[in-house]
Amino acid sequence: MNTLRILKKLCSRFYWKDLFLFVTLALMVIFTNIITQPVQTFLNARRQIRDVIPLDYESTLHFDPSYSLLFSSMGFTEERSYHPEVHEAIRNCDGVRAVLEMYSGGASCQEGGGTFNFQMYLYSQSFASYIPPWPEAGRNAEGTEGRLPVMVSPAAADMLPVGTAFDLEMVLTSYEDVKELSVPCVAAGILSPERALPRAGVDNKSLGAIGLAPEYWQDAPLVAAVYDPAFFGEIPWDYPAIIVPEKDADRDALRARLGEALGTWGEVRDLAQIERNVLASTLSESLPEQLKFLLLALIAIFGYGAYLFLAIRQRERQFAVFYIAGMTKKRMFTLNMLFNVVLYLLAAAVGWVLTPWVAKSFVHVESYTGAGLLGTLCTGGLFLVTLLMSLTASFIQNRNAAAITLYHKGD
Amino acid sequence: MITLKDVSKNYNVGKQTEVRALRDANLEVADGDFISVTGPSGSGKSTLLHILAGLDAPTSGTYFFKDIDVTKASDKVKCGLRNRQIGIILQDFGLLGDDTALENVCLPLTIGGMRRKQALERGKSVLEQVGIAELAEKRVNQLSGGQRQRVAVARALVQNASLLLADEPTGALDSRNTSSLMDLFEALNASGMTIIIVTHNIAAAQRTPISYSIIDGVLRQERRT
Repeated sequence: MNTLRILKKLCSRFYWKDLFLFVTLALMVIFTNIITQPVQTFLNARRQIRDVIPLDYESTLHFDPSYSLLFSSMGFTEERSYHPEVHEAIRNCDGVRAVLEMYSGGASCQEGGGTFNFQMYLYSQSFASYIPPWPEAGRNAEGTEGRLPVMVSPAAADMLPVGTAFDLEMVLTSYEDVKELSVPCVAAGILSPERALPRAGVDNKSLGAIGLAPEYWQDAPLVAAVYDPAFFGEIPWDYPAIIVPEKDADRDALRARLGEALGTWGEVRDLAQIERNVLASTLSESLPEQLKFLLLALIAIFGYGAYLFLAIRQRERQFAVFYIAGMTKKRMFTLNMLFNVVLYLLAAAVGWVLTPWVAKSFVHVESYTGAGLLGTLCTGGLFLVTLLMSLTASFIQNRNAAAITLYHKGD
Repeated sequence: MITLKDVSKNYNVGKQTEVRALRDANLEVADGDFISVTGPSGSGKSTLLHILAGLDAPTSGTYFFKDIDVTKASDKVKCGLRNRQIGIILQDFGLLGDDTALENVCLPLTIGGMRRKQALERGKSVLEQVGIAELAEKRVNQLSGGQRQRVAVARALVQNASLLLADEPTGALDSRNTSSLMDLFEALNASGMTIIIVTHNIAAAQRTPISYSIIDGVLRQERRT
């Protein structure tokens, strides 16, 4: 309690050096937040996607077709498509437990005299059984008789309020046949704007290969449903797909077998590898732009550390008096630590408030999403290391604690 | 109370610039003694006082304060001694200029863990004891040299210390304030407090019953009345 009283006394005295320390800390927080933003965005998306995909990321595989296969699925192909061969190759591979497919593509409906276009996510039943795309509670099953219940995104909910019956027009072009469908649907619920949407997609630079974080879909007009053969009949499933291995399957052996069976048709990776690739891509793409902020952050933290070292001298007399009055060196060190932690917390609060403005005004990052855990850990860690180094150095410098010379004026 | 045996203090040990500030000093101080130590500049007076206060460690020899071997004591023990048993007064007063006289006086109590209300009461009573109760709420920066030295004395007394160490306590005072401060020391000594002052001031030293001198680090008793 008394340590806090002395701390309060320290904090209540204003010195210009404290303002300088405060400003350098706030700048360090701002720059570090900006530097960590791309990785923080990745981590946020990864957490949100992992929340909805309850599979083992090390053993679950993802098949990504080559572009030639994609072109073929769009009709630019010879008469015989090799999709069935891909199907066969995956399904017949020893150790494969399930293949989770989905369709994503354009769809439209006529409503109120106009035509509305949507992005359609159609999950296979196996996909939905392994990765429920939305919580069961989010779906209103009432009044869906004879119609396919679909979930709509908040951006589509204005056009298709819950309970609206409509016919969804779709053209499936992923196989040799072009299949036009008109599916009677009913809007059964609104997708939670807080939740990621799982998917099996083509995307090497974001986590879109396995899911979409809310910020990437919540503003888009999107409808999603689980495949029901009563409405669609037999449809050829698109690739990419997620491959769930048997529980006791050897992951590496399965990958090797799939790689051999699929040849050049595409690439097989595990979900964790996709995440690692995206992180590496994020780092390499953002680094050149972020280097200048890294430099600024280092200048700020170095300025803080050096100035703190010098500032201890300014408190020299105060601590000499404390030492003479019976305060231990350890307690003085702790007091200095606490004082600087208080200063840091204030600077961090100001830094966190100012970062979005700085990010928008100077870095042109419109979608700054906040410091998050990474930014907080980085700034906190950088601060603590610098603080301990500066304090230790200054206390060593003033080795004989009251270090601090007040009583060395005599003879 | 104090037993100093063959205490030496060398600075820059092992270097060409090694200085022997104190040489085999021996000192016995009994409860209630009033001692002055005089000597020219650079003779080792302050070094002796800093060792007695536990602010500096001797290079060799032993120092017992009551039954505590201060030479082997930890920083925590020495700080505890300064906080509760040894009051220190410095030539430049050693006060926090931006704080009030009362806040300065209460500092050892705050560090020692006393509750604020109790500490303030105790601080006021000690300021009254040294005759400057009316200055309690004045900032130290606004006080004269003599008043500051009384604040420093009050701070040294506030924990009921049994030993008062004063390093050139009259160095920044005029003759009237010097005399007044020595009157205060005599009164404190009469009430049972042990006092050791290090001073250049011969007149002040002559008012103490026991007098030592230091020349080139050698401590010698000059007088005992």
